[in-house]
Amino acid sequence: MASAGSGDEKAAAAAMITLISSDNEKFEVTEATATLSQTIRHMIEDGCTDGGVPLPNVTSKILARVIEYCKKHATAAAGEEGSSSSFSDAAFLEVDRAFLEELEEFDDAFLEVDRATLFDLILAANYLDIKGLLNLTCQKVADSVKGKTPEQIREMYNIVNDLTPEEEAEIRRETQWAFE
Amino acid sequence: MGEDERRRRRRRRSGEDLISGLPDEVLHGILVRLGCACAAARTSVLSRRWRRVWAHMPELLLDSPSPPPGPAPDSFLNAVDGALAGCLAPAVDRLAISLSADSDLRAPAWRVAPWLRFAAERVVGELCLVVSPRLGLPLRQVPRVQEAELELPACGRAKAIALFPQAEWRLRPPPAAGLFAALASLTIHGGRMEGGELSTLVCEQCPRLTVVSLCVVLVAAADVSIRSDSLRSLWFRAMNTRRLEVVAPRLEGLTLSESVQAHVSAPKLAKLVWRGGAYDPRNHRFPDVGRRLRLLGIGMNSAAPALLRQFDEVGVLSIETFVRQGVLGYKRFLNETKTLPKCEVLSISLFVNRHGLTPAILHLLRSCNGTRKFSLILFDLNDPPATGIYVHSVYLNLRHAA
Repeated sequence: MASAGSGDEKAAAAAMITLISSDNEKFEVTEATATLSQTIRHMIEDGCTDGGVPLPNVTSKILARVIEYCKKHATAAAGEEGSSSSFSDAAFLEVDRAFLEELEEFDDAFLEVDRATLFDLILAANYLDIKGLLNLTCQKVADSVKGKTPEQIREMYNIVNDLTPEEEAEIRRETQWAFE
Repeated sequence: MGEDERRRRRRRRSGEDLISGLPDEVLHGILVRLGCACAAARTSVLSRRWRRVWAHMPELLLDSPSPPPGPAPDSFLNAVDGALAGCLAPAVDRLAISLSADSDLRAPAWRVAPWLRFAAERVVGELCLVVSPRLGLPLRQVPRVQEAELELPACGRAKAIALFPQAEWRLRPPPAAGLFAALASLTIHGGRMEGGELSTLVCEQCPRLTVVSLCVVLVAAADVSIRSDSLRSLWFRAMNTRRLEVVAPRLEGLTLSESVQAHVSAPKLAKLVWRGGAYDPRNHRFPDVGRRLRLLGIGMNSAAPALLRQFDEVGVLSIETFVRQGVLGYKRFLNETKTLPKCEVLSISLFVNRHGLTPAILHLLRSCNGTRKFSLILFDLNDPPATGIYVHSVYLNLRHAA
């Protein structure tokens, strides 16, 4: 096209990546969205994304959610770059703050999922190496465990205690400092 | 993959243990986010699978609990010892120990020394050690504790170190051969050091330093020399410094406190914050700093009209100042802010009593030369308790006629 738009911008907008879930569903996403995943970023850098990126560890249901997250946060990342002002004075960061609040709300809503989905998201974030998503989901689990006794944690997550009473007593002795 | 989905459905219904099946690295991520190595270690009794998961965590965070329902005084120190002894990770990305939440808790130096030795061996990322009782107190007000020496062993792999030792502790850097080979950021707030040892530590033992923040007391009046080819940011406050010499070709940001004699060679300097009291161009020299800055900050009680005159153009000009009561006080304020460099953004923190407010603000607005943004934070001196009470903030976009 011979329009006067910035060539670089066009190229970036046009760069689409196809992600293929374990159940063979295809997702078209922009490169900016996809590269929130370090794993995919490296694949792109190595030039092995022609014909799509197969993600045998991620189902279409989870991949759709992951992409939703990446889209939102890719926009956020672009916004941050765009608004980086020449001065860092706190008084002039109001705009950024509103933006961050919106992002926080998105994250909170995003985490409203059942536990199995949450763990699947964690595994996907880990496999795809998406720092923000891994942080978000792990924090959610950590928060659910905080302040709970081992017995409460076992019950909450259906953990079967396969330690003998002697073994458990020994571990408690070893880690007595942590229980005081 | 229909089989996969069916299995998933099954385990969802049956209340299967999903969490124990996560890979260790993910469990570490969860345990680290408990924000407490003790809580992480308590998961060792959950089941056989969990017994040693915590011990391989790449980060150890140990914060003393707040005092009220607190346990016996030594138990936190024992917890730190226990966590470090139980840690099996050969490389620790982050070790953060803080006693600051409990102002009555005192760790003797001999209990802290082994923590630093652990850090020297294992920490490959960040070490943060807060042992001083109350952060933020001026050095002189910190209650006296026993004088003691604390050896700072060479942490060859650490990239960032932040130490907040007790004020009376004498910090001893390792012998000259000890290298902080990977260290990029060094913060020492509190404690006493020898001037020569401080100079050697920064100039010779930390070859990759880019950010340094120092707030220490020198054991005896001495000169300090900071010569570094890598340094980009320096925050310097060392009481008893006779003369500070800074030679840092890459230095971009400098904050100076205490009215030391200073000789600063920093041709790339872009941000200067002066908290050094009265500025005297005869004692404080910046021979090769240009007349333009991205940021110039003038701290409280730091009359620096001569410093303001040294610069023609400043991106952000930030001034903290008083308007003291009475005619003399107001005149002094006018004198201090008479000549402001041309600045894009002017940010003023003004401690003022109500009577002086309007003329003071009008004076400042008139002084704005080409200023586009003006931010004013007011602290009312007549409204006790005045210290630190934020009263008003004004934020203006100014439009100037061409």
